[in-house]
Amino acid sequence: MTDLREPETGAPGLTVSDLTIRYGDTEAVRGVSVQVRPDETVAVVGPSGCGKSSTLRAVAGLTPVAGGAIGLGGRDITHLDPARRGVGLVPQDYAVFPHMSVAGNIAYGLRARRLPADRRRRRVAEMLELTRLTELAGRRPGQLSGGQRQRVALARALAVEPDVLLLDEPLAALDPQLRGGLRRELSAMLSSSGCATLIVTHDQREALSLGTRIALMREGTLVQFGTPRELWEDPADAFVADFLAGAVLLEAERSPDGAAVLDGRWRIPAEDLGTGPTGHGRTRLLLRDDSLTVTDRDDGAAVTARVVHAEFVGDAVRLTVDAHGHVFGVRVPPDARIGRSVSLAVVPGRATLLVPAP
Amino acid sequence: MAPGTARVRLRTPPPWTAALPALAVIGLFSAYPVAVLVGNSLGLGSAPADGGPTLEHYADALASASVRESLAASALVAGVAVLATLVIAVPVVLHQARQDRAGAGGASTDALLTLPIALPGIIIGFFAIVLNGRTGLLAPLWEGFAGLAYTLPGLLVAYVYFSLPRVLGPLRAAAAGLPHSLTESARTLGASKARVLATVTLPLLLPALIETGGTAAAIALGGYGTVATLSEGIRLLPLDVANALTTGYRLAASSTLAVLLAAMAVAALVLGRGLGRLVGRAVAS
Amino acid sequence: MNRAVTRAVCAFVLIPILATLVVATSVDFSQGPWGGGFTLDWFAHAWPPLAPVIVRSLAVAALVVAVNLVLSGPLAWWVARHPSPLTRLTGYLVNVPLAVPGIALSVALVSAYAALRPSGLLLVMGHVVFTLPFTLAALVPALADEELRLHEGVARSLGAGSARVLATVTVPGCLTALTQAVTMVFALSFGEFNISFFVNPPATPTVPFALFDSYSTQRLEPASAQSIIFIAFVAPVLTAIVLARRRALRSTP
Repeated sequence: MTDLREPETGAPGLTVSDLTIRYGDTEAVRGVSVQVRPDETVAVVGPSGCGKSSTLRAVAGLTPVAGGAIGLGGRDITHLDPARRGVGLVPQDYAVFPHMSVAGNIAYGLRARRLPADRRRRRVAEMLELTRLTELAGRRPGQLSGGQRQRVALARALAVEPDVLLLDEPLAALDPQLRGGLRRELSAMLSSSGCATLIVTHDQREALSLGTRIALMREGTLVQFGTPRELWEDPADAFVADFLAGAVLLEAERSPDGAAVLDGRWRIPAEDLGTGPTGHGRTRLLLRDDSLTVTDRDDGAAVTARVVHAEFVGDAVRLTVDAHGHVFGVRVPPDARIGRSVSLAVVPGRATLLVPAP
Repeated sequence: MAPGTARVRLRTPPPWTAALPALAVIGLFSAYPVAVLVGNSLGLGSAPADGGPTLEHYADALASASVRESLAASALVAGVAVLATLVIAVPVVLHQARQDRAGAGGASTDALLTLPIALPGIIIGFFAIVLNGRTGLLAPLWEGFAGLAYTLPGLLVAYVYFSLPRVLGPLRAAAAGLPHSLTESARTLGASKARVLATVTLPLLLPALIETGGTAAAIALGGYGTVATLSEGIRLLPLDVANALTTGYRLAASSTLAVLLAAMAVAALVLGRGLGRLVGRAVAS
Repeated sequence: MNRAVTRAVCAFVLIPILATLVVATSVDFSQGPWGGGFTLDWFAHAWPPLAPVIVRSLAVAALVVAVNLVLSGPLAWWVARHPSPLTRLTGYLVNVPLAVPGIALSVALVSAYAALRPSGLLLVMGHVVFTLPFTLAALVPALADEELRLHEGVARSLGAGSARVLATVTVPGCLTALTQAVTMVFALSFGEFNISFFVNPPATPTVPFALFDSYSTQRLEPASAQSIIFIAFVAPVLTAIVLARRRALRSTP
């Protein structure tokens, strides 16, 4: 038992073990453990105030650690000076030095490390090329767009060849219209840099597309840590299902002819259900907003739900319904007839029954 | 339509009329007296400063060894005191900025450091006498403290006290405006605290330092109360301005010295603003 | 390191005040701190002659605040809401008393209006022009604030007349700036010495002149007691300034 609790700081990449952070009397982070292997991008995601930014700041050495350990590249850096950690930080506002040129910004960490001038110039040129800033090398940050500034901050952080790259809400400061393109661009630059990366974001789409693994946090604790597909297909609890996919997770009982949910008031035939294994112990039904449809059937295979709200979204009508106290979303065709209540049935194959492995 | 607009125009006078009372007072009690002052110094005033257009008063003033000494001493005291104040103010405002970010108290420090702005110069001069007068409180500690108040170093310390709140106020606002993420990023890139101070914090504070320094120097140049209390020591220009009027009502001479003093103050102010803005543009464009 | 310097600077500000307090409570300071014992007699002696002077100074300061606000309110409104080269020029003009040293302005005022000196009018007007730049510096940014103007627009769209908008939106919106300006003007006028030097009525001086007189004619102990009384009057005003400023800082994240 003791061996398992021993902080493992010797592994390559970033290892956060049992991290606890306190601000005064409040515990912002409680016992969080996350590993980032070299060549991997881990996205820490969660609603605001969940402790994800504190975790990132603790790794950078900008917030004192109350308990646990942080290892980087085989070294224990838990209490090391931020200047000696070997991390590359890209803060939310990018913090590009306004009094230095683009090249001067990128060279900052290299100068601090007293790299000889010729090697410094070569490294800066490499970074300018990687982030496609070569033409802007002499510009001041004041003359750059938000996206360009982000690339300067990224190049500056990568220039020092950090053991881990830390990105705090990398796209939050940019125009929503530009985010999609810049997200793909960022993703490409990260994979070509080949550096272990920790991204903090509140946006589940960003987490799904940028992370090779996702750590989902809530109220200072780690709720689930796995690949995007694992979290998508086997959420640990209803919060993960809702936060990541807007899905609901209902307690279910499996029988030979199907599954019973809502305390047996809704029996779904086996032929309509897909099944998947779960690592979380209990049998549950995962419903996304495309899992159900309006039906005329009035047998046990359908459930009657009260319509709370109907919203036209162009290609569909999105209903918010209340079925025996469970509120969830359903997308129905725009021509469906909607009354005060609807009868809903599973679209065959679209709902997944999560069954514990035997 | 036309009558309607006419009525509206009658009811709401043009906006600049709101400024008229204030402008009249400023014109009467600030601009006009200053014009009279300049007139007096040029021999254009009423008696006893009405000798006709002449630069003789300026020539007299600048030829006088004691005036030249006061001029030099004033420039020296204001310049050195403000420089020293800036040096000790930087760590204070950085500390306060950190406290503000942490949301931690600091109210009593804040109040204490602002207090001297409401103390007239004479009280600050009196403080110097209490501590470093001939029988001052510190005199028993080291005999050098006895009478220090009337020497150049003593005067410098008094003017640092005088300038402190005037420098801390604006500088604090500038320090609070520095994004903390800049210094944090610099630290994670491998720079030591000293290096961050030299390469990030100070360059970004420089425009505010220059501008604040210029303003504080202008105020220190004109500070009369402190030196009036310590008048048996070193002579500064404001003392000569007052003396010319109190001893024998030499209005022209007093006005001339006042104009010289004002010119120095304005020069410090304008230089600080201009240079600060220039550096600001070079620092962040 | 920064904390240590801050502590040292606080001590630098505080020590002279404490030292003055020690002198003011010493029976005979020439025998050292609290030489001859501790006493409050110096305060008892200093207070009766100083009290009417303080009352006079308070009255002058209150009058200066009132005149200042009446003049600067509309002026600040014009500068903030109708910016033009003319308002910029006005800005320079208002700031003349900041650039021209007080003693120079004092000479200027007395040579221009010697007849107004005995009544005290020249003193009040001198203080008013000296304090106007501070009020303007506080009020103009507050009145120019986009959010305040938006709120005024909303109030007007809800049917409020100009007077109601002024009373219910504009003034409350500028309250922090106003408090700061009023307390600052009050403190500046109460302790003003430079501009006052040649314009204060000789027969009825203000507190700084009573102090100055004591410094040159009296023993260290009573002079210290008077100084402490003065500080006791400005300290609360200053605390109000600091509190107003901290509230302003907190409300603008």
